[in-house]
Amino acid sequence: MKFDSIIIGGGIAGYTAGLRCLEAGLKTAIISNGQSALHFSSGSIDLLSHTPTGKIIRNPEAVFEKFAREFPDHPYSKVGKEILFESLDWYKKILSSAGIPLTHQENGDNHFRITPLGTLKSTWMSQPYIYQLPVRLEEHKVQRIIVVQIDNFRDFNSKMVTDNLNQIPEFKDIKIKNASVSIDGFSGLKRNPCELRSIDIARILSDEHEVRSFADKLKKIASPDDILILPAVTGNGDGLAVLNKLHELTGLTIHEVPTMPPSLLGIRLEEAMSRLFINNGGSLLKGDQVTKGEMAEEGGTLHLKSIYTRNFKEMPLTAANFILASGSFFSKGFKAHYNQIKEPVFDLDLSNIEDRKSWHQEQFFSQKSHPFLSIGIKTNATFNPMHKGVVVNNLFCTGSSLAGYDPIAQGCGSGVAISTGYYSVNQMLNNSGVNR
Amino acid sequence: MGHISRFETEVLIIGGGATGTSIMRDCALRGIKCMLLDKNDIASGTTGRNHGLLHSGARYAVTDSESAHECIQENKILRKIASHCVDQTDGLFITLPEDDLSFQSTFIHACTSVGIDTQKLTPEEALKLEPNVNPSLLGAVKVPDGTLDPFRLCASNVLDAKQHGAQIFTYSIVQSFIRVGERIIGASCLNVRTNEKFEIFANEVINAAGIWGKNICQYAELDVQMFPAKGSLLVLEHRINDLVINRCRKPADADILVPGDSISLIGTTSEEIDYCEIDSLRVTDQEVNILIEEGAKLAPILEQTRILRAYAGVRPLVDVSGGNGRNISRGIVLLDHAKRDGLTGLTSILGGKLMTCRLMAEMTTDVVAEKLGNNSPCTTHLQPLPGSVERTDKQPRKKTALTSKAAAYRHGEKAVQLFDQSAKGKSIVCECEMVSVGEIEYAIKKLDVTNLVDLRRRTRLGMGSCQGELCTYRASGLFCEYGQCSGHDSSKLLIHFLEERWKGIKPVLFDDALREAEFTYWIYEGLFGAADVTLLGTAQNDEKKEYYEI
Amino acid sequence: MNIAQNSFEKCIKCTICTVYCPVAKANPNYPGPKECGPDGARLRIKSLDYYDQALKLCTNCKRCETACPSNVNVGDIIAVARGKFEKKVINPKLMRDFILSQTDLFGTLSTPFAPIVNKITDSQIIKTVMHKTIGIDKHKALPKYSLGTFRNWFKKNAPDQEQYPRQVSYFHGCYVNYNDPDLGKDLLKVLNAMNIGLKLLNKEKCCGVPLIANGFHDKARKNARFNVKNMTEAVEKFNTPILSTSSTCSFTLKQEYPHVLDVDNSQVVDKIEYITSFLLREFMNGNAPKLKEINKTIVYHTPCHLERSGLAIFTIELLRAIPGLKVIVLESECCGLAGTYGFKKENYDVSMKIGKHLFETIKNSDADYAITDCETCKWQIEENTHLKTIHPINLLAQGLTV
Repeated sequence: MKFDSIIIGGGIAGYTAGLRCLEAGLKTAIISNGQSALHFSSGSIDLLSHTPTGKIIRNPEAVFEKFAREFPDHPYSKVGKEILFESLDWYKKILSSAGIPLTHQENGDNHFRITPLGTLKSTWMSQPYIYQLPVRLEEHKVQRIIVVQIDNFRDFNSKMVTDNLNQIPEFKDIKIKNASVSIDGFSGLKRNPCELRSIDIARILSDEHEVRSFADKLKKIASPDDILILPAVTGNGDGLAVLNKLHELTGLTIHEVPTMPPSLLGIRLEEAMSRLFINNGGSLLKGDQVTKGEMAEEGGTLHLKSIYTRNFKEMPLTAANFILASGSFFSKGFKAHYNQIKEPVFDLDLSNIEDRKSWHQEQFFSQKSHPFLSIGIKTNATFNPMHKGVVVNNLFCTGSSLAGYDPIAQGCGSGVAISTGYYSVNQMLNNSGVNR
Repeated sequence: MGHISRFETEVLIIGGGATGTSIMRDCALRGIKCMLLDKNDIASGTTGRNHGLLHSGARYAVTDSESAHECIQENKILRKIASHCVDQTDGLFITLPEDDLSFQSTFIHACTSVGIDTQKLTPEEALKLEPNVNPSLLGAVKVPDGTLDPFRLCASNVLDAKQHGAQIFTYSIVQSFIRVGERIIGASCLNVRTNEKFEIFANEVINAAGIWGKNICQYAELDVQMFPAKGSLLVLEHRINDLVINRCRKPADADILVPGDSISLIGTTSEEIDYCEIDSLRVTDQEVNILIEEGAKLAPILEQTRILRAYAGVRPLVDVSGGNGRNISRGIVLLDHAKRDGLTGLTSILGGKLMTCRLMAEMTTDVVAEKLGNNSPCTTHLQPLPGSVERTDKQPRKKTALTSKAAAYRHGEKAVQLFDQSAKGKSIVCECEMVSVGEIEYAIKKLDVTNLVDLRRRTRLGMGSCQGELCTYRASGLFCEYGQCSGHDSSKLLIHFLEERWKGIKPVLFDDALREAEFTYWIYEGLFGAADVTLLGTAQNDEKKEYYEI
Repeated sequence: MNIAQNSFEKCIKCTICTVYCPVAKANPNYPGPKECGPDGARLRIKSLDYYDQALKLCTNCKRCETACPSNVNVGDIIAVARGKFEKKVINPKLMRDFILSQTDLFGTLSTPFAPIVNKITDSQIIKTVMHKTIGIDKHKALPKYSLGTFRNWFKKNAPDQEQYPRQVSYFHGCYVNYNDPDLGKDLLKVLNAMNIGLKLLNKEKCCGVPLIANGFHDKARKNARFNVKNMTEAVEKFNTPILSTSSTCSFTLKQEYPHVLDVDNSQVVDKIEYITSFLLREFMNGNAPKLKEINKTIVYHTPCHLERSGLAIFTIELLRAIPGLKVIVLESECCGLAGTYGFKKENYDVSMKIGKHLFETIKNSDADYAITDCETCKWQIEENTHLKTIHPINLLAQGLTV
């Protein structure tokens, strides 16, 4: 089967690349081996919160040039400032067209979101019901925070949020309290209602009566000047519809906080992108896994001719260009063997990594980043990987398959995914131009 | 300085392992007032760091008939008094092509002579009983091995002792002995969690601190040579065998595969270590290798099975011969320091093994009781432990929630109170091991639980496939509710627990263990920002704020 | 070794499957694939006490497997556990399950009297009686039988088929044989237009999927062995591909046999193919029949088992190859019928709730046809949207110029 471009991996990097390819009029397929890690994500777009040396970044745009000079191996430094921000604008536009408007601070600053432990995480672009706390925390304008405990919901704990928020010095003058709210649909279930996950609650809350009753209860515990912290328990297949309704009914300022898995905030992004991809004519090969590729030598470089998958068996899938967006270990973009880490499909060259002892830090929550989080594929300036030292000229690596950054410690996972996905398609189009 | 609490008791027991808690129970049942002290949680030392095998004694039959005899006697007793801690699986001693089949008859003969029932099986019969056993086996002998959950055993000992008036202090260390001349009359202690000092005055002090017993003796200026030998084990994701599988040959490395509850364990290696290393054990790559390689010989499926974690314990052997670790008898060493060293008020019980903990307690308590003038007989071999008093399978099975069934498996009749709980009480917290809110509430309130690691030892929370990924947040939240703990402190418990899980994951951080760890890290750090919890409210929080500017 | 018995340990407890389970979506009482599948499998090794009756709520749609990032055969694990541990209670519902799953038997009994049987099963009174007695929901119309089977019709045409230079074998399945011989006839036309002749297997039985879904694993296993034997004969004798026009039959023959029933099909599995992947490959190799323009709009619905096979792309590409046709690919989701599931009184509401979004999308689509590869999806869509729903082969046959 023949395509113009094939993308391996259906996470944020893969969909970014896929949607860009469709825009460019290419016949495009995405192959995804199960759903992506977006299902445990904040649904906010992290751009850059810390340098690899651990310094805090307030405004990524303002420090970009210096950052690129000091950390030339970081994927951003290859993408460049212009394409980075162009890609984010593009992503914002695309998601907005799919019903998920994303916003960021006008001055380009990062902002904080509140976590389910009551700590703060720096991010750059968020969904509408994330209250964007200023990264200069002392400048916040919050009067009172109400943390909602949904009765009998085990995957979000308001007491932990409240007590930890109270420890933040800049919040010492804010009243922070928690309040329980019940959901009508919990009663009358045969199954134990205390075992419902966020996604189960989202299903209950897709009922109009349930939303109204829930809204009535919320109105009783908070007033419009408050920030109402609500676990993310809405949006199963209907994006922000329920939250918009809740907001309309209550007039409250809602701050959604992710829950234990699954995280509806992230699911919304994946659903929106996946719908868009199918509606725009993309071929989505779900639940399939690339097993091998066939490469040919071409003037000192390698050319990926075709790939094979578990479902297509001996039938090759061919394309002019391929994008690798297969993620890290979770998504099987890498496989850790007893004493060796490998890229399992093409056996691409990885960034240096020593024996197993050096893959991790002593402490799980270490001040230093775990090396296994920044391991990745070695690429050239245009993100082409190498196989045994030889560049593969029509394969482009994106997102967490790339080496040189720690998505969590540097708070840049989704930013790298979007910008490298976008950039790779640019390179690919150049490439095809030359080939034609 | 603040007020120092003082306690008085007849017997002070140092060490909350299998031996210490058994002594605590024995004393309490004989009407002797006692208190127990452990520097950590109960069963947190060697007791909780072995393979939990309910030995039939067969393993020692050829080399050490005395141990073998003790084992089979205690095996029969534990099956009766601790049925909720015991899984009567039976065990196989298999002969592989590289083993000497003639050893089998020596083995059977030795077993018979100490009273261990054996049944010789053909390879086909063995495979039928245990489909995952190495199919190339030449023969097998079935013996009454089983499994023994050391955490439950200790917790039940403590529960029973407390019901009979005993008292326990966990996370408390001895700082010094209180002496009057050549008599020890108590100990100055420190609670390491709260930093509170306290004193316990006792007529008799029992040192049941296992490998740490050498340190305790030093506080009394006595010298005991201990011989620490590290033993490492791997935890497999699920129960790959139903019967214990041993090799029918002289004991060696990695030759026991034990089905423990929902998992299987492969053990054990043996390596001499320096005494100074006993608190910083590490499982090495080489040990992981040996365990996988040798384990696969017992059950080839092991090679394809996901490994959850690795851990190591120290054998508490007393050096009496200077021989090497493998040939030393695991014999019981009871030191009456009055007789041995002329220091009254202190008795040390050292050596021994998990299997003989009750017997060791009986021997020790006999000595101490005599000194106290108490002549009540020992009844620990007759009275069932709490949890084994009634048969819980009489409970209605059909409509019982799965979590209640799991709780009954772990707590015996003590779980019956959980059966009628509210929906919340029955709801699942740990999905891998089916631990419910009610079981956690019970453990926090009744079983001396101070943190999530203790809770794990009482319930199996976080011991399953995901190693705490799904349950840690939920369970730590319950400490706010049942443990009178602030949300901030419970967040710290969360970190403490995940760090403790991490210790065992690191040595096997490849394949799915790495995937799982990456996933857990995304959630707790990427999504939840857990690392910042420890900095909140500390000066470090501000120091950390170093900005990157142009 | 049976895959389902080993794959549960790969589950890293990410909960993604619970998001994509259509039953969990519609029925809050279903604990979801994670608990019933990998979690349960691990605990059931320890003790059968952990077998949960909720497993019977699973429709065996396998969407959990498509969604799983760890390649756990979640659906297979549940199906295997049901086969091993589900206790059959003798009651009218058992009879109903028996009737619904014995497609062969009732097809054979009914086709000679199709008009009468169809009238009876269509009568409101009979529907109410069946609802009250054996629990077939009164809202459902039982599938209509055809007068005479496809096999009988084919006998007359068999000699012609041998004239073609190339031959394929056809596993027609119960649906084509008893309910919709026209689909088989259309296939014959399309293949003939491509200069390919059609053969039937010497004998075939129901692939077994309704039996698996209703917990009759032993009977399903017997059918599986029978079918594998007949397919093996065909392959040995003629070395032809074995095609199926049912996405579910082909999925079952290829995957459920080894994964759920533990029946070895390795000697034929590579020969079994769902029709659209065979056709598209022929098309791409230059052997496409001449097609006239079909100036119509269709919505395409992906059946669960085709989604799991990963082969929906072939149908979509095949449809896109029809000149003039406007193809709208619907979001892939379960229609709710899940074979026999939605016919049952106790499942009716859940079944409708699962399909609701799909029905609404189709109703709002202005399409001329709905296209789908699965017969039971067709029933469900037609019953709930009143849009004529046909198989891609029906549409291809319409487009043939000869």
